[in-house]
Amino acid sequence: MPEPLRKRSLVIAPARLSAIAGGVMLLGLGLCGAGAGIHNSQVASKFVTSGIVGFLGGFLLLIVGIIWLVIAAIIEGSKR
Amino acid sequence: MPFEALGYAGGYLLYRHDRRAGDPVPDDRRWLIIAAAAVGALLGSRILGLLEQAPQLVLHWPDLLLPGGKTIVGGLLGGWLAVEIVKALAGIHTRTGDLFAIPLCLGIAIGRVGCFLAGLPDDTYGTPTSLPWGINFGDGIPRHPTQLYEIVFLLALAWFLHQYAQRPHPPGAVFRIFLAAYLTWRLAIDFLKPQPHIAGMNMIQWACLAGLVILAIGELINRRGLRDA
Repeated sequence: MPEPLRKRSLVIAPARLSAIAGGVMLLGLGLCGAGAGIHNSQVASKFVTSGIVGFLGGFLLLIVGIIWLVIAAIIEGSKR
Repeated sequence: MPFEALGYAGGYLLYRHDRRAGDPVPDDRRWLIIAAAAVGALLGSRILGLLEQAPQLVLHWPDLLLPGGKTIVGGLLGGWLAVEIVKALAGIHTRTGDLFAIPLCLGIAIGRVGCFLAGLPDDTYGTPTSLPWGINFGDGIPRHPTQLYEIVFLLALAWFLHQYAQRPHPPGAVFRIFLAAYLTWRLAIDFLKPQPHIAGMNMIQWACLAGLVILAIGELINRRGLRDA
């Protein structure tokens, strides 16, 4: 008799999103740090701006990921 | 910056490769742990980065609002703490860090190449030296290439951990050895860095010392538990 397919956990996708968001925020901080070390002010401001955009984007993703994660954990918990 | 991204990517690819050999932690819980580690690393690296710059920030406090300024030690300790909290909340009792140890060695080593190429603005260079391998990072003073020392140390540590992981070992031991070795290394090598000192050591060294004390206490509790069982 074939083994029944195991249902994929609901928690994986939001946890992945949160992990990626954390990585994006770290890279955003890295971009800002790199910008601070560049003497050419035009290039430096581009680095810092893209770093801030990356950091804030990552922060938004993280908020979405954590809310999604909590909802997924509640749904999974209620199914057990 | 490209080396930082390469470091994350290289570390993740190696982690995925190692995970194929077997992982006692199911997929959903593993991703929960990775998410906790990423967020904890972010917070830890930023908080310790700010604390390290505290003497300058006191003089020019608006810099507090500027992004940038991260530390690997803060990232490791923050990630470790966050994973332990999430494991306690989610009821995960298995050791989960072994798979991260060698990828972390590789990721940090790649990142350090970027630190070396960035030179003076990166704040990871060493104190002046008259040794023949001293590097001039742009200020005309030959300095200890502490980034290169760290790359050599991390590659040796990765090789040792790989050999150790092949033999039977207690769960979690690979990660604990990695953490103890890296924190001890940073405690020692940071004496060769011209960072502001507080009571004889810089903030990163104090954080390393705190991490080592916590590791030692955890190890003692662990051994006592095994002996009593």
